[in-house]
Amino acid sequence: MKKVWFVFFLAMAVFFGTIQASTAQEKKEIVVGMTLCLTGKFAADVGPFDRMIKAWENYVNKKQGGLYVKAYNKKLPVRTIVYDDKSDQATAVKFYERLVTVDKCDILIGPKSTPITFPVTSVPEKYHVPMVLATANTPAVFNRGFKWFVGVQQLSTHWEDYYFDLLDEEKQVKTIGYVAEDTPHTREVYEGAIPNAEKRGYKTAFKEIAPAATTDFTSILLKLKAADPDIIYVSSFTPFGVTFKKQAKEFGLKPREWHFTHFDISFSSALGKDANYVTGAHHWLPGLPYGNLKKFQEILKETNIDTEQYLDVGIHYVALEIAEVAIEKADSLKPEDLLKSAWAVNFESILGPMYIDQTLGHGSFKQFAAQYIDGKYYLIFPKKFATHKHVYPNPAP
Amino acid sequence: MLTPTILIQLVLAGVLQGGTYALAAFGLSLVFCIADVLNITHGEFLMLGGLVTYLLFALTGLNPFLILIIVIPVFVLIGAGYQKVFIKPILNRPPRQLLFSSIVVTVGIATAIEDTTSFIWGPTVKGVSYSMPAFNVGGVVVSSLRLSILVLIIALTIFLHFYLKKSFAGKAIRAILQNREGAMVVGINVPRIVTLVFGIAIGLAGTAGLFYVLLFTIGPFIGLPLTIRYIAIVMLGGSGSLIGSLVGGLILGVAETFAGFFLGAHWSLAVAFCTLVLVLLLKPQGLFKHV
Repeated sequence: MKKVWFVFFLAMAVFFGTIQASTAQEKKEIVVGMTLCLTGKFAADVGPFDRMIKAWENYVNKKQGGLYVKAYNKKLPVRTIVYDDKSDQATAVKFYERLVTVDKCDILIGPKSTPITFPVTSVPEKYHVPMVLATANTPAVFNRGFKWFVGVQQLSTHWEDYYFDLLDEEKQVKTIGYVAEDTPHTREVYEGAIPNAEKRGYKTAFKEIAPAATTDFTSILLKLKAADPDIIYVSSFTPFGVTFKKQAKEFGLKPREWHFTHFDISFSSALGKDANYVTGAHHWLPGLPYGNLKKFQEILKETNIDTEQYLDVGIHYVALEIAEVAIEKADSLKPEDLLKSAWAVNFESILGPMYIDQTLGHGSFKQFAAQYIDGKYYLIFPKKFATHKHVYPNPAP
Repeated sequence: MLTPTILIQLVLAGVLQGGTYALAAFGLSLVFCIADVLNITHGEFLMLGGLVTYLLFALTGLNPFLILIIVIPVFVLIGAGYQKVFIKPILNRPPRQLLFSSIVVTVGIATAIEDTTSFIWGPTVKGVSYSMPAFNVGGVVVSSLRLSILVLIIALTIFLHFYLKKSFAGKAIRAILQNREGAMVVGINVPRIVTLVFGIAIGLAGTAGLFYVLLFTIGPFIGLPLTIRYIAIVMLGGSGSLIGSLVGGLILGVAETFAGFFLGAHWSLAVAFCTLVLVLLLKPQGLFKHV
């Protein structure tokens, strides 16, 4: 009888072992999962990115024949899964859990924004699935010692490095007045900008943080008028920035330059001619010579995405590029191999040279300096690919 | 340092800010008193008023103040229709049930308006790029745009005041506010007056939306936070009071501006709402009684 049981268990073990082995061997596709803020408060910035993700999938599968997997010595097709996190942290976490446990994703792409990304990063850490963060750039995300994700961007405290490099080169500015909208991201950019500028010799003429819900800026504008800085530097999102700029005009405030850290097309259309010559930080704009531009532009064309309207499109796309490079350079599709490969990426992305900081895991991309001139955004720094000369001081009446 | 010029500038800014608060708050207050309905969609109609202004401005290039001639009647009609379709069916419930039902119904409609607006016009913020040159009086910079808006708000308030005092419908509204049953006994058609009040309230919200989009930006999701702020003003001023809404709005506006200057912008809202709590502790029924 004992012998019969032994044979039975042996047969079962062989049976399930075979199934498992064949499942491992029969991986037919690479699954890339993410959530996007397709609805809710961040939807304005994300817009049609789900279409961009699908266009990337189609491009990779149809034009590249899939992504090369070293372990199989062949290319596998990619399948993307995108859920709408409704710009909500809990929903995003729920969907990332699903992407790992139900959809069995090989690699994850981060959601939009720091507030959504922060809780989500516990998912790759818990399940040991690699993730490439897209727009998150707060030090708080990267300072926790987590190892299962890498990012595209430099930390937010370095948001304006290129802009200050430009000012250094031109040597026309002496004083800056700073205003920040009190959100984690805009506050960090402001807190990074002030010491960065002071270190370079620019005197801080004024600084103040205002709540995001502020609608009357009289008190700040009165103080700014008295301080009379060369540049008024506003670290804010669009609604705050537009209201501030409108009221500043009503007060007759005319600094030599207006600088807004976020100035997308809704900013310029809401301000009309008052947005002319405003400088700010921008991601991908025509004129950048880096990476596989043909592929990116084809995807943009197919999905009809305007990079002036959707500033973050370049960053989300580079997150896909990092995933692509990590997969193709990895020894296998095992999570540890993919993670190791993601930390080791070093390539030319559409946003320039891309590598990962080996201590914290953030990427190397820093926002370019741009200026809005007569209805169009131009890159003004770094100078090697500037599409327009920096117009300073602001000639607008 | 606080110079007389800065003091005048701060008072002026607070009054201008408060005036825009008051306009929208009064409609909310009137509906609450006349119909016992807490209309959470009030801020959504403000947003829609701003959106209509934005679209008309973008399409026609008309002076935004002329667009007011279109916005007011359109939103009065929308308000009356909104009451007939969504509010009338719940009006016969007992008072407490009516209040809860109205919150549930109007929150649902507010969500539907937000999502539909976001779907049709996109979730990006919109603003009207219209400005007027500021002028300087003895060192005090006065925004012509804000001043024009304030003048219009004052004109509307005066018109409403006389409408409520002199017209038959206005007297009927006041009668319902004082004694609903009594008003019915003397033959006032209460359901019709309730519809009219909704028309006036939503008309005011649409008008406030027009002013709002001239000063700030609008997005599909601004309505609910605005409604909450207006509820606070109504509580401060006393529900159903035109003058109460105006004074409540001004107190909030001036408190925000002064706190911003002396303590930093960060304290504006905190000080404004502490003022609200203080006033309510001293006068729990609000500063003023009905109309």
